Amino acid sequence: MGRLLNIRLSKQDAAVVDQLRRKGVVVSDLVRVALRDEYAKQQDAPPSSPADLLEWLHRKYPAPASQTTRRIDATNRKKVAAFLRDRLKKRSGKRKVA
Amino acid sequence: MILLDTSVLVALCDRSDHLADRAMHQLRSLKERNLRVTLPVLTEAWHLLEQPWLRKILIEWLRGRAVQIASAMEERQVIAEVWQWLEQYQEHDPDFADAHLVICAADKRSSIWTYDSEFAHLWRHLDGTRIRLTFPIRS
Repeated sequence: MGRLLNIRLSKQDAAVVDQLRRKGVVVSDLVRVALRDEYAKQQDAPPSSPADLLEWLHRKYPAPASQTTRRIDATNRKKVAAFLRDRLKKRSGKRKVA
Repeated sequence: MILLDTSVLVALCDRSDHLADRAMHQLRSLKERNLRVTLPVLTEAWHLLEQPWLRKILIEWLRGRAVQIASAMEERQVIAEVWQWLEQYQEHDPDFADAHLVICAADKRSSIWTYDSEFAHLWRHLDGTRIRLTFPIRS
């Protein structure tokens, strides 16, 4: 036997249920579908806390097996600046009109 | 408000970064949820996170409202202070992103989350006070 779920309805919601029943809609089926839809939505939804969201994103976008470690140490300001200069130089070179 | 520096943002998005584990551990330990990223820091991180999946992580993390974009420049019109700060430290050849970060963190309720030791040992606010750091820098 399944579990019984009681739902308290407002007058307006009760009127809606009556109308649906008159049109042949099985309200309990409607509730089951709505519950399953919401559950599926919750499963797919990203978490809201910054750390949980980040973990979720790392699972969603895993590094490819061929991934190698980044060459630049982001804590080394001079190396970062040189890397950025190099990148921007290459980019402006590409954009030059012949 | 906690302002993230480039090194932290990169470590959080790239698990191959040597500071990735520390960054995630520190993120989990934070009570403060008001995390901000400045546009110059975002620009630097964008270049450093070259791989497409790393950029997807960065974009979706920001889009998920986990972190807000700091817009102190627009709110307070403090670009003049950034120029002043850059001039003050010109012998050390500072980055624009660092200058902008320091000025954005001028508010006493703000701190900077960074792994760059210059924020602890060299940079100061314009009034000469030390930079408030979210976590102490390990050398």
